[in-house]
Amino acid sequence: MAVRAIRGAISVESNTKEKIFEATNELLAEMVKRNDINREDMIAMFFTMTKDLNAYYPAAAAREIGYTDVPLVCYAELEIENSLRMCLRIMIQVNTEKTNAQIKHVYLKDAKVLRKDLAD
Amino acid sequence: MPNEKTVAVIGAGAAGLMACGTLAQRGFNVKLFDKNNMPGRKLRITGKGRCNITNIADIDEFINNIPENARFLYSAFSAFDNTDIINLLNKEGLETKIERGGRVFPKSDNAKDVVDALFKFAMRGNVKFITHAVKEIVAQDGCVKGIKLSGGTFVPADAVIVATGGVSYPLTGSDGDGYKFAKKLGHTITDLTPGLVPLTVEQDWVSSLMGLSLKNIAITLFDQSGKKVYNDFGEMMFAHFGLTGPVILSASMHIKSPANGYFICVDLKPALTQQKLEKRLQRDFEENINKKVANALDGLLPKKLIPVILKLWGTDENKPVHQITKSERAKLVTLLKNIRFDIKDFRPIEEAIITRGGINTKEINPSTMESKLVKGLYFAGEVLNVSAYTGGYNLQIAFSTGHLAGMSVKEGED
Ligand SMILES: Cc1cc2nc3c(=O)[nH]c(=O)nc-3n(C[C@H](O)[C@H](O)[C@H](O)COP(=O)(O)OP(=O)(O)OC[C@H]3O[C@@H](n4cnc5c(N)ncnc54)[C@H](O)[C@@H]3O)c2cc1C
Repeated sequence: MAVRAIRGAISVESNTKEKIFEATNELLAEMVKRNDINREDMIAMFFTMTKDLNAYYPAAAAREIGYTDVPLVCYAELEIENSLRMCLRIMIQVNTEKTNAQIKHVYLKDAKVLRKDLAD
Repeated sequence: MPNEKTVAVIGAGAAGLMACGTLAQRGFNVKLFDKNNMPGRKLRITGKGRCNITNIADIDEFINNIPENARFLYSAFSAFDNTDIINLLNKEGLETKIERGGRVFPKSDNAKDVVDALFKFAMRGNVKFITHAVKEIVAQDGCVKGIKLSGGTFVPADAVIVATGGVSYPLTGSDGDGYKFAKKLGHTITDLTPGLVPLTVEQDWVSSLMGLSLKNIAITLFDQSGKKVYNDFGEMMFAHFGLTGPVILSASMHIKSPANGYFICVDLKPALTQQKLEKRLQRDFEENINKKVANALDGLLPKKLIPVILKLWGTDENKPVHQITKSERAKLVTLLKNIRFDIKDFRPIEEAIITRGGINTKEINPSTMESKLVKGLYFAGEVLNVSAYTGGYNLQIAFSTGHLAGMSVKEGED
């Protein structure tokens, strides 16, 4: 067993509580599904959002979905010139038998541009 | 009035969306789970993409169209019926129309519009649509405590509504999880068999007719002992494996598993009596007296069918019409009104429109949809052991039971 991290990102349609919930839900669901993560193997989740998103905590959305017993924390994303706007990023740390190469990172909607090398 | 209770609804299909909207209106916190990242995946393919929402038939007619456990549904229908769902959808901005046989469709002929309207209704209130698959329902001392997501995350809930559908068309997400949840909590599941399903037949020549559709034909279904069990009039189609189309799907609901030994007789000319058909043939033959018999049947039968009919009739296609004897002609009349197909089996349940069988309705309170075994556990839709013919009846069952479950969850302690 090793500690590994799974990355994901998604664009958010608008800066509202509903849309931030929907984006968090969609991205988390895909990350968990594609990597077949068990709750018991989750260590922590980190969230960042770009400055233009401030209507809701993505960690609160994750708690509403049911991730109440995983440590969750949110940070502000760096403000880099010409970077993707309206973007939610997640990192989940897990204990896993998988190798780094077997981990599936998930980039959805407009956030696909962040990792063109991973596009499916 | 908002209240503090949280309800988990599993499945964002017809029943789940209806339950969700009903609960939200009553002020509950609702968590609506679906393993798909969009609601109503199966709804989108209903009615050939047009969605036959319900039927304007009255309650007696409804009951007649539900061969399995219709009585269990009385309370659900009286709480929320066909006019209620039509009104609800109209209010959400969906225009509807009525077609032949009382079938109700969206005016746009687009099933997606029905899903959008239902989803709008469902999401109005304190509702979260969560696209995670549910793995298990958690109960303790006969009371529901919540659910576990795939991956094992526990989500507490004061009540759980199971609206996971059947096992047919599993790619839509309805793959039978609800039965597993219920079984684990002590419920019994009656035999799951395909309903409204195409049939495979012994006559392997049907494959040569693949794609041919016969309109205005009549069929009679006989059981193993030769007893008539069903007849119908309408359209059927040939497939490489056997028979399909509306009248065949309906007939399949009258076949008890195993299907082997049942047979269907097709009357190609139900509007003509034996004598009238005889006369018609006589006339056709007189007009084509010097032609080959194959060419004299053009007016009466679809071209594709003629070689098969000649073979079953035992007549050479090159035989000139004037050589056909009276008794040969009589034999043809009998054949055209009685083509026999021996049923081999149902097509697999994955290809069935609905799943027959499900959660034993004896273990569910018909006036609340609540489990008699586990408090706070409710069922709605196709997961129940109820099934109906085509015509919009199956979706109405989902809407009515979903509504009733949503109305029945208790607000306070009891
Ligand atoms: C091709 C086809 C055409 C049809 N046409 C019509 C028609 O025109 N008129 C009519 O009345 N009926 C029609 N039917 C039947 C009708 O679609 C069903 O009876 C009806 O959809 C049942 O509704 P439901 O809500 O019970 O289940 P479904 O609509 O099947 O919804 C169940 C939902 O539960 C979800 N789910 C399952 N397991 C889980 C889990 N573990 N975690 C999370 N979510 C889960 C599924 O993803 C699915 O979205 C048709 C069926 C088919 C296959």
